[in-house]
Amino acid sequence: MATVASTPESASPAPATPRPVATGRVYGLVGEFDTAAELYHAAEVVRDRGFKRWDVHSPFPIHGMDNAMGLGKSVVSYIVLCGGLTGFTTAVLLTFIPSTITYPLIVQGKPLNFFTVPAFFPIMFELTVLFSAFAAVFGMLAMNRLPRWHHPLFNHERFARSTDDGFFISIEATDPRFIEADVRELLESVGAQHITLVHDHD
Amino acid sequence: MSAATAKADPQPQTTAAPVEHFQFTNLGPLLFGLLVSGGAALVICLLLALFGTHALRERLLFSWLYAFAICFTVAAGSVFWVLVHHATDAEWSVVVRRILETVGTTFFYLWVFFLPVLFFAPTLYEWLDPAVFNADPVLVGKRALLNRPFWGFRAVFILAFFAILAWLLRYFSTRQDATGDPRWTVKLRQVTYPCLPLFALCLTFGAVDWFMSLNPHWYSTMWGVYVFAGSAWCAMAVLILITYALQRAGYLEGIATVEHYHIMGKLLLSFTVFWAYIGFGQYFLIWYANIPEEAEYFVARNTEGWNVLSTALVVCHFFIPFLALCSRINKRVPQRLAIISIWCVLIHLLDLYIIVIPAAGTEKAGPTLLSFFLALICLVAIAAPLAFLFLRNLAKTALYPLRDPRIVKSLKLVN
Amino acid sequence: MADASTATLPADPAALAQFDPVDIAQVTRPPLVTSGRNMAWITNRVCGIVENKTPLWWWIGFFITAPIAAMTFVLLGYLIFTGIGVWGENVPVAWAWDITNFVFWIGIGHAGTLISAILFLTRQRWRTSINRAAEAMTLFAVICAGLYPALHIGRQWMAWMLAPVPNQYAIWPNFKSPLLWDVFAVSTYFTVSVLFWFTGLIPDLATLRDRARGKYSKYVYGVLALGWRGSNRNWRHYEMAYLLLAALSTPLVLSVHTIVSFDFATSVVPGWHTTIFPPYFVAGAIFGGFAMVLTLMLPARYLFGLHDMITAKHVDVMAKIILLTGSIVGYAYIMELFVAWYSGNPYEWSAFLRNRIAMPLFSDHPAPYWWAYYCMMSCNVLSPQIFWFKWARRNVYVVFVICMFVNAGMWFERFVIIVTSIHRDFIPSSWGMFHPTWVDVCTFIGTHGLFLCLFLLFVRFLPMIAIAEVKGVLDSADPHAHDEHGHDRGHSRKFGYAAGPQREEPLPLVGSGVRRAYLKEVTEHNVADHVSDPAKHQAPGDPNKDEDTGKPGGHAKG
Repeated sequence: MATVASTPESASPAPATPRPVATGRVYGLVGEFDTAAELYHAAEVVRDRGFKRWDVHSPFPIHGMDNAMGLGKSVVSYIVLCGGLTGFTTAVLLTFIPSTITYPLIVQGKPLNFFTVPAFFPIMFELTVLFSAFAAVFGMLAMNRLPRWHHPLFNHERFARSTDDGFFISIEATDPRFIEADVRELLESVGAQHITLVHDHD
Repeated sequence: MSAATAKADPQPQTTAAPVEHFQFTNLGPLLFGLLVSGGAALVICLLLALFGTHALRERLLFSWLYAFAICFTVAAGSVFWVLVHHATDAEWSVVVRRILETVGTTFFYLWVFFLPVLFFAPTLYEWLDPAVFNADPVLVGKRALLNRPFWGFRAVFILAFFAILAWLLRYFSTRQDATGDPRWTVKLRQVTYPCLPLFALCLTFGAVDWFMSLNPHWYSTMWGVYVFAGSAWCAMAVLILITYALQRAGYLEGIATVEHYHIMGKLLLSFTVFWAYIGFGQYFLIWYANIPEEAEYFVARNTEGWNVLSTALVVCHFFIPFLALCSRINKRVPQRLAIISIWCVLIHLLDLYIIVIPAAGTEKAGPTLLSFFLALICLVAIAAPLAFLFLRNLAKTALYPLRDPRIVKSLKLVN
Repeated sequence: MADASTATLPADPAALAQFDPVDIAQVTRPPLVTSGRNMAWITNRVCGIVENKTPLWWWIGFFITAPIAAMTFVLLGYLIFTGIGVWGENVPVAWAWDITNFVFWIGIGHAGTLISAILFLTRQRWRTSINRAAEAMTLFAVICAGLYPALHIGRQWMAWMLAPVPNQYAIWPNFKSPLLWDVFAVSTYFTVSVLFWFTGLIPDLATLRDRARGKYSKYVYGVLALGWRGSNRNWRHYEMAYLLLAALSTPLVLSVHTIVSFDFATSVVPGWHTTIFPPYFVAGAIFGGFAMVLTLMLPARYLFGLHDMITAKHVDVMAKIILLTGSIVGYAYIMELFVAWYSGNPYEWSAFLRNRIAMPLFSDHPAPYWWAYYCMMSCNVLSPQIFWFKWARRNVYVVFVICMFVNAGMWFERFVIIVTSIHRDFIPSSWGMFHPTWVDVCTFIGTHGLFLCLFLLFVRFLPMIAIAEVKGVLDSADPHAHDEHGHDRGHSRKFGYAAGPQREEPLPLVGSGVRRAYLKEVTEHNVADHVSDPAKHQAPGDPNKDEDTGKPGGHAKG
């Protein structure tokens, strides 16, 4: 990030995170916003400060938020490509090996060689789609580290609004640039409300 | 040509919008080239027709029908996209709609190039030979449709319908340029909806009358849809190419954006798939059932020298553009999309070539250099004058519907 | 909406005001969520259906449909224990109501996938209010459909032979058979529809989880939501997966009914073998499916008070789609008829003229199934034509009645195709009629009960409207909705150039300077991004450039 060098935080090395003993391990600071637009602008600021381990939470995907957060293209498409190729190969083998090698049988007057391929297109297509769809869903879940039973953010009372009409930014304590006071100040400066320190325990 | 600075704005409330006009006269060499090549090709066609042997004249006429088919399908496809725009109340296509409308205006002149087909139809269509017709009970059963007066009437009706429709779509659209009155948008929709079923019927019967009846025994219920799929596909490729060429020449700067190219690329992709779906469905069912009178169409095209071209069509019409257009970058970089579009146009030429030319009695053995040459000459003879007239019509009005109610949405398009 | 940047445009209300208000209303897009509802209202209204006390009508509906659904399974048991003969089919009509009902139900499913996938790909934002219920309907319809061929195989305990495994003689299934393709197509379709549906449900299940009060509901929704927390890092993969599922489902939905049509069209039976069957079946499926979507959603909209999310516009658009697909189906009917005559094939023509068209009044030898053909024609082709009129599309009663006609008409279409084509064999001595038995009738009624019962359970326990997606189409969902300072939306970030000429000296162009000023004025920063900006061309791909310094000057109006 080109703008990182100009921010004061970046000058100091990553300090040891203060760990309040009484409430368990600190997960991070969470700030809340009222609108998608506020969240969007805040995300741009946080991105430009050079934070790495942070996230925004919204009830619906916000258009352009990937750019506001500085995220690239999802790799799920490549997983799906692999899934599709697997399905296609499976179908080719499944149809051709029995029909032309292990038990060749002339039916409907169709040839036993490669030129019977139009009759196999339906199965090739279906299996390609089936494997691709599995790759899409399970690839997405794997990339998102889901499913999971619990997450520290669920300890935050107000976080339930993130699936209703709340917009949140969470900056994790494991981020090298995380200094609680500075992050709190940063979140305040971008207009966050209810800034809360979230702990990773039950 | 027309005065380019039509800044007069009768409505004080609207901004004095500068009209972006296409500068027809700046294109001297191109126009000269179009006129000279078109004229030369026409003269060659005329000479061949006057002094060629009977066989050569027959081949020439099939090539002429082929060239007509190319121009007809592209123009009809363009009209289709305008109809879709109005029927779906689309936003993205506003900025390129005028180009489509203007491609549609080639229907004003296309009928001229149909005259040779109309007059020398018996050379093309064996069922017009009374000896052949009366000797074949199957053909006699089709007399209600396959007779020359009705066939000619249908041709006139179809071409007149497209010309009138293209005129209406463009006329109302250009009227809106002056004031931005939404009344014209409403009128365009009123034209569009009843014309959609008529469009389907006219395109289908054009396809049946001019191409399917080249072999009067053969039939396929999918045929109209197949010709339509290729038409819409090629028209989209042509639209991309015209938009790109205009931008290269400095027009539509900031009007048609990468987002518009992206959508046009997506539509090209979807029609690549649609064509393959329709083409495969038609081929597959005939191949699978293997009924002689149906299979003869594909037998003629999948044997002898034609087999190579038919196989190439599958690869070139579907697999190559499909894989190329799957990539997001290829749709968003206009240069790349233009290259793919050139490919698509060339393959559309091949598609119709395989439809029309093997039907000629002289071409059974496969494509020959002479038939390629004749097809090319005829194509230039028809397409070059039409391109000239297209450019002239393009210069007559603004390059995009600048006061369409959806123009801002279209300019601000984000995929 | 109309901020200062667009005040001078013709599309602006102020500039439009001079024209006829009727015309202006025609070109004004109504909001997708009416009455200015906000996100919390949407959450409450949709989740409330699940959380509030079960309404009385639901119990009534459930206690009517559940026994009917149960009847299906009793009858299927009766069929398995007695034999396939309890259905009325016999040579020559060996495929009758079972295959008719199979195609009928599977077709209904197609509208759900169309709404969720094709309308998603074409950016039809109105789909968000109806896609969830339509997808659920897809699943239930496919369940009903799948029962028929599975039981029609005769010896149901041999169903494993449908799977791609060799049997005891080492013979594999015939991969060239359309019936085997059906197995692959329908099972893939069901699986992918479930995946698509569940993927869409995840964010809404998280909403239900976060609102859950009861011990069990907390647990169940918590497990089903998979730990979703609306994180944008998750949304990024989620949106890509959803997009790809839509892109996969679109050809899939076409392929399913295409392959169903292959069951008939690959044969040489007159009336079955015709090349237009694939797109015609698909169009018919979407047509019948949309009718069923409206059949379910119009009452649901009334009963749950969802008028602000399923607005008059939604009904209007769906009625238009019914008109369009109904006309495509009409085109296919006409082409079939035309080519049956044009082909010169006497069998083909007689399959239409003597087996379908010939009416008692006009023919000495009326077609035995003429009534089915005319039911099909009038319900499918004629009745939707009323949707050419706006008043009809806006009147929910008219829409509902027409949808009922279409539901019936689409069943008759399959009946006409299947039964009338085969009841008269090539040899007149083997001609025969089909007579449904009470088991046929009751099984068919039973599948309706099963379908409705599953749908009632769905609306009771799962969010019937895609909450997250509806929120996404609100004006307030746009992060740039009320921006005062310009924002690059980032779309040109990766390919950091504007389309168009990049030459140093463009061709002389009249008014180009004026035009640029005009553009800058009227469309401000969003369009100005695309206007050739030399600084941007030189440094494409710099991620921060666009966001911070790469802003063109158009927004500096403050």
